[in-house]
Amino acid sequence: MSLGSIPGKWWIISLLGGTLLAGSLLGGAQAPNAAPTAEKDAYHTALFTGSSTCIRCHVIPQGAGSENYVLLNEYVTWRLSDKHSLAYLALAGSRGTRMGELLGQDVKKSETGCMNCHTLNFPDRFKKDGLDDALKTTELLSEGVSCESCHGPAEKWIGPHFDTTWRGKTPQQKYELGMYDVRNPVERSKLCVSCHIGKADEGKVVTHAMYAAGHPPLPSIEIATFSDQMPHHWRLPADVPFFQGLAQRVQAGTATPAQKNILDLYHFSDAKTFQSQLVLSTSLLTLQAELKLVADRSNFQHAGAARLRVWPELGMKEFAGSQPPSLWPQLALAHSDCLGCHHELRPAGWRQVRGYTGAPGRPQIEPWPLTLTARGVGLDLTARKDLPSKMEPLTTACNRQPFGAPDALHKSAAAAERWLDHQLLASNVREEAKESLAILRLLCSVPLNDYPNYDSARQLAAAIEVVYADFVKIKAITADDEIRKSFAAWNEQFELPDPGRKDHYVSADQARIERRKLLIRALYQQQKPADTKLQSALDYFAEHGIVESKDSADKESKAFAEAIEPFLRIMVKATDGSTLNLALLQEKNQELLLQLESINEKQNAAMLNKMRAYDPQQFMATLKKIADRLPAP
Amino acid sequence: MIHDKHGHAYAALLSERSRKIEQNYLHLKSIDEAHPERDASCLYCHSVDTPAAIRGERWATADGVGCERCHGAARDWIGEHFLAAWKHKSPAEKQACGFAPLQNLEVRAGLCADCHVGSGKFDVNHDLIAAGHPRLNFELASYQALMPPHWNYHQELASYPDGDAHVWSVGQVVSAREALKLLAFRADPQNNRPWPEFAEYDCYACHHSFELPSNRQRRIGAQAPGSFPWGTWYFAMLPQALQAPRSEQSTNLQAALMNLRAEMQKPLPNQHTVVDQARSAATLLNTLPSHANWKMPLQQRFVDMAKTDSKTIAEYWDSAAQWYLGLAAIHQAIANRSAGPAETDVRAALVKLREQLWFPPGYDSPRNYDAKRFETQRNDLLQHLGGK
Repeated sequence: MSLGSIPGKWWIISLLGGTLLAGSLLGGAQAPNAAPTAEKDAYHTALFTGSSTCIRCHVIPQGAGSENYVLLNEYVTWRLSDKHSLAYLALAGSRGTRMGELLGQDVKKSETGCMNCHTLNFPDRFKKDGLDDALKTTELLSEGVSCESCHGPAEKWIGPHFDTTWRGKTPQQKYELGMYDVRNPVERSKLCVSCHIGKADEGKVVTHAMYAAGHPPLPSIEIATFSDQMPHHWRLPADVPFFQGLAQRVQAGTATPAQKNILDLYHFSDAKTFQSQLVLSTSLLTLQAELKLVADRSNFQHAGAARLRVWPELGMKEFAGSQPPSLWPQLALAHSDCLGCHHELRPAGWRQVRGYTGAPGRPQIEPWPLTLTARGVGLDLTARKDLPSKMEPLTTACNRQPFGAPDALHKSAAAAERWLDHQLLASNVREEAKESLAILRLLCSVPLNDYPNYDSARQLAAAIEVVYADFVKIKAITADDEIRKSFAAWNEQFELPDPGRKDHYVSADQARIERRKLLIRALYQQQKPADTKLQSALDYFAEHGIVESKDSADKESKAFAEAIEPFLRIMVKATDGSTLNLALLQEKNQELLLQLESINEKQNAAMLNKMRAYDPQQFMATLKKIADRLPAP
Repeated sequence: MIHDKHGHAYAALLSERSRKIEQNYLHLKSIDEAHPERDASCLYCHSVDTPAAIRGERWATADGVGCERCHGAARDWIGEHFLAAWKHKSPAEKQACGFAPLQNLEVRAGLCADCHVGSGKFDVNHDLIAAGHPRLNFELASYQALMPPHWNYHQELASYPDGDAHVWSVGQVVSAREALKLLAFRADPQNNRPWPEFAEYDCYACHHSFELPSNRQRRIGAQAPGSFPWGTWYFAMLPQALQAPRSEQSTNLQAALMNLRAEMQKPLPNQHTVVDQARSAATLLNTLPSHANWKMPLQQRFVDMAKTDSKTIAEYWDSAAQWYLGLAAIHQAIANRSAGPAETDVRAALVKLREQLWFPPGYDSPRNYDAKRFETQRNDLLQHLGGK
């Protein structure tokens, strides 16, 4: 039996059928091995069903009952507020087209590698469900970074995952069906950085040519803050009513062993420091991802199809037929310190005041992923002592010649990456995250002659704010006024959300509201609702939004409750199979697409202006001030 | 000695800035260990580079770029150069006793270029620039115009066929030749220099802060996005400086430069190829008549230059600046020649173009330069010219 053979409401049947049906699904058709990977597990081989599968349930928010586990309006949040849903449109829009012209490539072609980050670039693994092959493929590609991009291909877990026993399954059991464990801070971090830093073996590489053609600079990424900045379609573990309910039962002594087991499975006892756990994971995993990227791209041994994945540069007409060693400077620019070269020149600028680790003017690798690690965050005492000697060979390799010596760089990056992997295995982020104050002290330490660049400073600021928020929460103390003021200034300077804010699920981000309004307008154009009540409902949502609400019980407004149903109904109808993205790609909606782009452009430009105005000395002074105001241990 | 910056060249080495440069360049632990005033590689340009054996008793490093750095060691001519007979000696006879024939503009430009373009052994390369040394961008006509003359420069200008325009042409040709020789030195693996050498490329192609929208991303060139543009300073206006741009030699030279550019703009230029190509281009330049005795009326040259293909001009600050300096030189030559009223509208347009090229206060890079705006301003100039 295959999913395709169950017409229409198969999902209801499987709700009833439970594990029996899940079992038969597991025995289903073997997925074609389209993935360019040696791994054969379900995560790497199962079929992608598309968000049109998810939309059937994940639309209407649930009440706050004690069984409430997920929000159930995830699809709407992603669709209307999350930029990930527009990732493919970015390729199809004017910037993508322009980049393609400059690069001499069609960025919507699989082989350019762009789609490896901008959508599910696995056309061979799309579940067609008996639909028109080409149409289904276009639909799934146009979805951008959608549900299954992060949660894993749903073919094998779609059935089991709404079975009541699903919550009791271990992450490993879920992974065996293809589901990725995004609730684990380390695993989540790995996934985010695979695109937001890069992963050569998956063809996720932003080349220097792409940047030069107009790809925005990849900003620093601290996973707790980044997750916070995303419109949440999830709750922090401590806020999940289901877990809270179980915890109360455990406390009252009425919990069954199975219920206790679920809390342990999700490490609920450490849920309070979840954000700090993400900071610790960030420290190790961003650096590891960068080192891996450097090591992979400076290893000239790749052959066959792997070459184009690791070095997308080879797909450009200028470099076609070239051997990677002869492209080395171009290759190296992709991982080099962007701001090391890209800055205005000043007489006696701070770089010259600071001095250099070797020959002046030799680009080093991008420094921000090292920022947290260099301060010892996530490392034990021995590792902290060892880190400089692990990183030193990289500096030497970069200093040896302009752009670095590839062989030496490969060896040193690969060795440092392996070493970091051992630290990761040895570290226990849940235990370490309890030491908020110690982490804060590390983060605020000011090494002599350190001039963090904008991205490094942003990384530090984000981590400090997150850990401080946890610290204040755990100790149940009031945040220091001066520290709060510094944070407010940082949030403005570095475009960071306020982690201390009360409601994690509502964001007043102006750009997000604008983007949402545009998308709802697009829905209008698709559906042209004659019903005036429906129209006023759409107006309401355009203005207020439902997508980031914790659940419907949070919004006591009667209007909200009344309006929500018809709106969601047209949402489901209009966006089934992600047709909204397809619609936006049509000629008649070009104007909308351009407006969506200009919102992003404005946001990018604002950040670049802040980058220009950044002063490292001022930042270090703030850091020192915060360190001085931290309570004594 | 007082007005001319050359006289302060040594003193500059004593400054904190110079010591910081030296500290960065040699990667010294403390600034107290930095002594650029004793470093031969600094002194070569910042003072008179004289072998100890021929230093006289009054010779002093502290004189900076003193008289003899340009005029030649005086031991063999000091005694007679103030005698009446000296005036009757031929340049060759004077040269034989060590007196440099500086009245020969080409020789003079070569001498300037020795420091201001660079000469291999004592090279202001990217390492030194990153350490804090200003970049070099030499242009003879403007440098001479800015230097307080200790000779009768106006009289000298009047003696040239095209005044300032002549100086500009000679400067272009000599600078380009010296730059090619320097490139050959830098590229030669035997000299063990950094490669690729960043100083060969347009500084501001990389050294700009990020901005959106970006003019850089509007252009489609022959180059791959994100590769380095080569030779935007010394070779941008060279064709316009050659006496017979359509001659066979000139065509050969331009083809040679094109090949060299193609090689230099590869991600990793082949060092041997570059050495060969740079050497042969330098040789070709030598065979061209470098003291450009132009037959074309200055006014025509001005118009021709103003109309140079826009792609070669506005795209980079370097080429835009070189274009402006060339125009300014010809304009000055025209103004010096004509007895009539100055062309105020053309001059005003030139002044506006110059404003576009200024670095803002506190910057060593053209933070506000905008190729599109420069192009608009250039169109204004062309309109004024069209009216005549």
